[in-house]
Amino acid sequence: MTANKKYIPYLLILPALLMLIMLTIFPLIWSFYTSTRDMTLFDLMMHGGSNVGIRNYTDLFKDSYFWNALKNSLIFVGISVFGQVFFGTLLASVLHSKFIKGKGLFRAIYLIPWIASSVIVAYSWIYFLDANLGFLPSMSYKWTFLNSIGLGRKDWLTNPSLVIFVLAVINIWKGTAFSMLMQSAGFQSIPDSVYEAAEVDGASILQRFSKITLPLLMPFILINLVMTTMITFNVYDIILVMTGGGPMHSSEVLSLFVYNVGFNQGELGYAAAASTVLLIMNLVTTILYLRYIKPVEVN
Amino acid sequence: MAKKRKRIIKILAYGFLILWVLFSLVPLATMLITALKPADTFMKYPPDYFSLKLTGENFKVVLSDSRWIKYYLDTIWIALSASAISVFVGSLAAYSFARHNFKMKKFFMIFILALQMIPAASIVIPLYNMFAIMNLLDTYLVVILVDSVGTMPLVIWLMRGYFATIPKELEEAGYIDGCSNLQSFWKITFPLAAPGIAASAIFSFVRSFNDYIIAKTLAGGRVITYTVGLTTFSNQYEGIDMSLVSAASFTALVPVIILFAIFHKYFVIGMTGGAVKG
Repeated sequence: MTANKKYIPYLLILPALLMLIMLTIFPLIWSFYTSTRDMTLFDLMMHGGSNVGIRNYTDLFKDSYFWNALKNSLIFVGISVFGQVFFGTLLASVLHSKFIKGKGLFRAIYLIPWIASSVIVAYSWIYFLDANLGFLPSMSYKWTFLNSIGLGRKDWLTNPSLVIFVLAVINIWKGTAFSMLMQSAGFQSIPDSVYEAAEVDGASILQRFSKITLPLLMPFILINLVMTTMITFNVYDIILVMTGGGPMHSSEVLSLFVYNVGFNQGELGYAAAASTVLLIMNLVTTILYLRYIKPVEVN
Repeated sequence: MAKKRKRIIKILAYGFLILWVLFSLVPLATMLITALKPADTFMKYPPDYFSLKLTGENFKVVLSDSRWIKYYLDTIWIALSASAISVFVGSLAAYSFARHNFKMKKFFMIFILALQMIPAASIVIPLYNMFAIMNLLDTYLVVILVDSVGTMPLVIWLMRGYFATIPKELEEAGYIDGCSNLQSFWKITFPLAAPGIAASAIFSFVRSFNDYIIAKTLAGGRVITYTVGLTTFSNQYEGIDMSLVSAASFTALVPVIILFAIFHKYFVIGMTGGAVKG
């Protein structure tokens, strides 16, 4: 009986481990292997392609499209993460105040963009911004004040120097609710008694914010920053549907670069090498994540 | 003075909340208006968004389109199966982590958490290669399995938290009353963990229901989810009929919103991996 029982814990995790190893670890190892080969979609069925060592990697670092994608990723992730955490914290703090009524309704509305699928989000924004038929450009004929506040333009998705910023705003639109929820948990973790004590001591609103709220909220903000960074580096479904990375690669982020090289150009080996770089960037954020998850889990 | 300042803060706070409501709703609201417009609205330039001519015709067309119904049923079948597998297999592992102490337990737990960080872009191409060689591309099986693995790490961590809150003594009381291991799990632990299971199931269902990348890369010929179907719709009607794509989008968005409205609390717990307790 006892000898038998020893296996039970392992037996229970076995199915999950097997599935996870076969469908994530094994493909990952395969991806490393592929990254050392000159392999196309065509080679896949015929033979494995030829061994080229690290040439895919050296080619990658000479490829201006790769550096362009990396730059786009940094812009996209930087703006998205800052925007999401900033507005998420702001919304959470306003919704935490006692004098606001209808909190539940506000919160529910804010969550709608977050639960909508990326493809629907993509179409709703295409139809909102489309140069000829979109809502915003059509309205700028009628409501000329839109022109004077800078919303009257038509090239939202076709201007190469603008499009990545527009996509970052759309990503903020979709993702802020997640940060809001995380930060609400942060605000709820601060006991009211702390504020009451500060009020008795005569602390001003500003002092209360900088001396009490911010330090106590910091672990939540940190973990939120890291998690959002991690999620955003891998976002490409909205961009794939809205622009495909164009015009002229101006909205091609790194994860979309991997996808386009692999599936559109069929260069599997080269795409695998690019995906290794993506993986390393994720690894760095993961290490940060594992370092910062501790203080929050205690709460 | 203090009173006046309080009023200003109040006005600013409400102003910000209402602005964010507008920002959140305007793109989706214009999509709904688009879905309710007669098709010829978008053949004129610029289209008249504010005419009061509204019609349910687009919804009728979409809901009687046999392709759209197939996409829809495919998606529901895939999402239901994937979340059932994810929750069942994930709960077994979570139970083990919560109840038993064994060698390498900590390693396995961190390992599973770390798996969640592997970018989809990194593994979708090797998965495509694997299944192409096994001749399994474009099957329900493949999409269901990959979808379920995508949500499993989070389900395991979420469920582990729930199982850990159920006192071990309750189960032990079950043994004394003559229950077997399995019986005490089914009769005592499982019902008590029901909120966690609900949250996990809703989270993994919605994630799989809304997935685009996996269904697009590993299927798309015979097995078509609504997200992939929507893009083929759009390519077909492009420029001619925004209203049909909009109507189709809403038939897929509304069920998720209804699900959200009913299970709001579990939804939030699940989608944030238990970091936020509803």
